[in-house]
Amino acid sequence: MPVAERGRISRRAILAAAGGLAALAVAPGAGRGAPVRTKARIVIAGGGAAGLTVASRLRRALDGADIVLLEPRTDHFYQPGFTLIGAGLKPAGYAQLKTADFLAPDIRWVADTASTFDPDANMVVTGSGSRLPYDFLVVATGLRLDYAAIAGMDTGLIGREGIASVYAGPDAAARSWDALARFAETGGVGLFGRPATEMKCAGAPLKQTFLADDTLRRAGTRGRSEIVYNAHNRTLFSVPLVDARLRELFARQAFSVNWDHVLIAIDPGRHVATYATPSGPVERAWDFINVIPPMRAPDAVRNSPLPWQAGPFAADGWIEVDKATLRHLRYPNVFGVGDVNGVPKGKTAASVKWQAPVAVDHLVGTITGKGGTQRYNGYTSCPLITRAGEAMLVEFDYDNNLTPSFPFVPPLEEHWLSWIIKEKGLKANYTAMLRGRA
Amino acid sequence: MKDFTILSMLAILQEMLGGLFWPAAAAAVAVALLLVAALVRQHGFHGRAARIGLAAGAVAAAAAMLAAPALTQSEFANLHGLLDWGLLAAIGLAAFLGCTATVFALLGAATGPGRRA
Repeated sequence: MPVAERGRISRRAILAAAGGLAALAVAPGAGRGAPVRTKARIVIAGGGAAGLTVASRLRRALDGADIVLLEPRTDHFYQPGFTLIGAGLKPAGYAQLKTADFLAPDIRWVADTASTFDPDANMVVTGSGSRLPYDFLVVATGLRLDYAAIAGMDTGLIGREGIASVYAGPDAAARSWDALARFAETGGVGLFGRPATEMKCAGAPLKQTFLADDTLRRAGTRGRSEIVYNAHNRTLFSVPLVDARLRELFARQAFSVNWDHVLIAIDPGRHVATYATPSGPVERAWDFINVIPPMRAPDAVRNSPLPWQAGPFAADGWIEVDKATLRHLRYPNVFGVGDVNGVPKGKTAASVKWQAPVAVDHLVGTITGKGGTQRYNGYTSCPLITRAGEAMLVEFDYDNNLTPSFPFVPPLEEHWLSWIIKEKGLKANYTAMLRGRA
Repeated sequence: MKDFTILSMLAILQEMLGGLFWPAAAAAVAVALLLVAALVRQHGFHGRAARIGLAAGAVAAAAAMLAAPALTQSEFANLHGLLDWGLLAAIGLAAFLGCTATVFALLGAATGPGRRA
C-alpha cells in the first residue's frame, strides 16, 4: 500500500483501498456443508414459526428429500407483535403474513390438519383422511388456547365489557386495544394475570400490565385506577433474578399483587372474575380484564402416544422429547420443535430460532449416520416492555442463567436500545428465521 | 439471538427493507464508486465539495438524532445512560458520515479539483 504523501492521499492509494473493499464485499462467507442426498420422506406437522423454519432449513440441508408441510392456514401470524397491537402501538396488519411467502416451491404443502399421529406405523392421518407415511416426523403443531376452560369466556367477548385477550389473534389484539383505550378514558380497576399451565411467552402478561399502566398514565387516569396482578403462584416470573427485578418494578409502578390466583370464570354482565385460590374461590370486580387462557397441546397430539406419560408435562399433553436434542425419547425418528415440546423452557419465537437448527442437525445426522452435535440449552428470550419506548432484554436458559446476546446491554435495566431491538429489529429477525437465513 | 453472522445480519436487513433492499444496495455501491472518483478528482477530501458535504452531514446528524425517538414510538425521556445516548450519538454519526460521503461524492465527482486549503 503506497504511503500517503504529506497532506494528500495518492490516487494509487485510493484505488487500492477501493479494490480491497470490493474484494471483501464479494468474498464468500463461511461455507455451508453440501446438501445431503437422500430420498427420505419427512412430514412437518404445523406451519407456524417452528414448522416453516424447520422446512426452510431442511430444504437447504437435504437434496432429494420429500418434505411435506401439513398446515391448514394460509395466514401466518407474527405472534410477538400481538402485545404491541394490544397496546395500540401497531395496527392489526403488522402481525399478518402469508404462509406461502415463506415456503419454497419444492416443499409439498398439504393444506390440512393433522388429526391422528401414529408413530408406531410412521404415519400421520390428516383431517380429510389422507395418510402421510414418513421416515421422519417433525411435530411443530404449536399449542391450543383453551378459552373454554374459563367458564363464561368466549373469544367473541374480546373487546367488549372491558375484556382484552391478545393471544386469540391480530384482530382480537386490536379489539383488546379498543377495550384498553376505553378503560384509559375513565380509569378503574384493571385485572391482569396468567394461567397456571405452561404458556407461550410468559413475559406477555407482564408486558401487558406495564403497557396498560403506561396507557393510563398517558391518558391522565392512572391516579384514579388500580392495577391488580393476580399471580398464578408465588412468583411473577420463573427466573429468580428476573422475578426479583419485576417485584421492584411492580412496587415502583404501584401495582397490587394477589398470589396463588388462577382465573377460572368470568361474568361479563357483572364484570366479576372468579379465581381459584388455596382458600377457595375469590371474586374480583373489573373495569378492565386481560384474559389469558390455559394452554395445552393440540388434541391430535394429546390423543397420540407422543406426549409425556408421566411427570409435570403429562397433564397438558406436551410431547416427550430430549430437552437437549429435541428427539422424541420413545420414537427416535420423531422430533419436536416449538411450543408443543415438553421441555422446561422455550415457548417463544426466539426459542424456535435455537431449537430448529438443533432438531435439523440431529435429523440430518440420523440420515447420514454420523449423528448430530448441536444441543438446545433452553434459550428463551423475553423483551420485557415496561412502557412504550423502554424494555429489558431478558434472555435465559434451562438453568435460569441470564444469557444476553449483546454483552453490552444489561439485561435487567430498562433501555431505549432494548425497545428498539424489539420494535424495529425482531420482526425482520423473525421473518429471516422463517426463511432459514437467521 | 443465535448466529449473528454477517450473512444473517444481511438477511435481517433485507427483511427490514423489503423491496428497497436491492435499490438501496445499488445506490450504496454507486455512491461508493462516486466517492472513490471524487477523492481521486479532488486529490483527497478537499475544497468546496468537502465543505458542503460536511455542512450537509451536520444537518443530517441533527435531524436524525431529533427524529429517532419519534420514529421508534418513543421519547427522549426513554433514553437512559450511556447505552441509549451512545446509540443516539451513533445514529447521528451514521447520518453524518452517510450524508457527508454522499454529498461529497456527488459534488466532488462532478466538479473540478478543489484548491488546497
